Amino acid sequence: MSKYSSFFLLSSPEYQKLNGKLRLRKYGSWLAEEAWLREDQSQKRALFTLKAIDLARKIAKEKGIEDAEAFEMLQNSGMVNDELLGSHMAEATALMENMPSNRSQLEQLVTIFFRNRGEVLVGKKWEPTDDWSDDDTKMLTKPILDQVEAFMVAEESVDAVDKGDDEPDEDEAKN
Amino acid sequence: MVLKSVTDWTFLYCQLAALNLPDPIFHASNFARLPVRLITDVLDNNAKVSRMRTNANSVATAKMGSMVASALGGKGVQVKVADFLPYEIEDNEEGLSESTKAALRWALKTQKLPVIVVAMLGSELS
Repeated sequence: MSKYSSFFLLSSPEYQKLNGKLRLRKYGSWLAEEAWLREDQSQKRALFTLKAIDLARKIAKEKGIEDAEAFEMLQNSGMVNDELLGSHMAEATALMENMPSNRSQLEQLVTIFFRNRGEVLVGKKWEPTDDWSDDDTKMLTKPILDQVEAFMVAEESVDAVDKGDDEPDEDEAKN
Repeated sequence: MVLKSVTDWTFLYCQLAALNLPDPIFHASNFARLPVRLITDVLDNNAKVSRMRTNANSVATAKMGSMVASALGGKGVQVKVADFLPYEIEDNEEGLSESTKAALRWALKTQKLPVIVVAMLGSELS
């Protein structure tokens, strides 16, 4: 962001404190980069589902079973033997290995939220966490992750943010 | 297999860039970190301003159109200048908003306004 951005967007920025050392800046909206990462994740999930359905149809045709049954078989591919999936076992295993996990997708979002909005208290000054990495996200505790997830939802829902359900940060005025 | 993105980010960016907004936050390098709400608000408001500007520039033509229509249609035909404008005028562009009307009705009912003001507002509130 440019040096003027803060003045233009919000003259007095608001923050969501996660603990004594970490906070996230509120914009009352997702940022473009965050929104398109989420869209990208949704696309990957949708693409995975389409591929799985496609494979299930192939298997159903070969085995002479219902599509739904084949799809269920695919979902349990870790528990069934090669005979059931036939020649598609390798394809099914590869597909399942590439299944986007909710956990990793949430971590990606958390990382980008910290890069764009995060601040950490260093001494008495809040410093931006624009070099936040996936490894840093993995170090976060579950309560903090839950708070970030709730923050994401609040930032999406304009009404929730406008109501100002969080108390203003005491340190805001100082920085 | 490629799925189409839900939001056309390139188009959004092009729309924003076409506005030539002077603030550096609207430069290409900052686009990714702009709040989506700000982008959509800017584009919506710009579209609204464009419509108002186009309407304003078309008033003379619209007036002539209404005159011609009145002349051709005779006394029975009632045409408004607004009917000849390119874009419909939004309700809040002319007259008072519903909330203001409600407040004024309350003021009238409780006799908080002088008679002369009531007379001036009568047509607006009816």
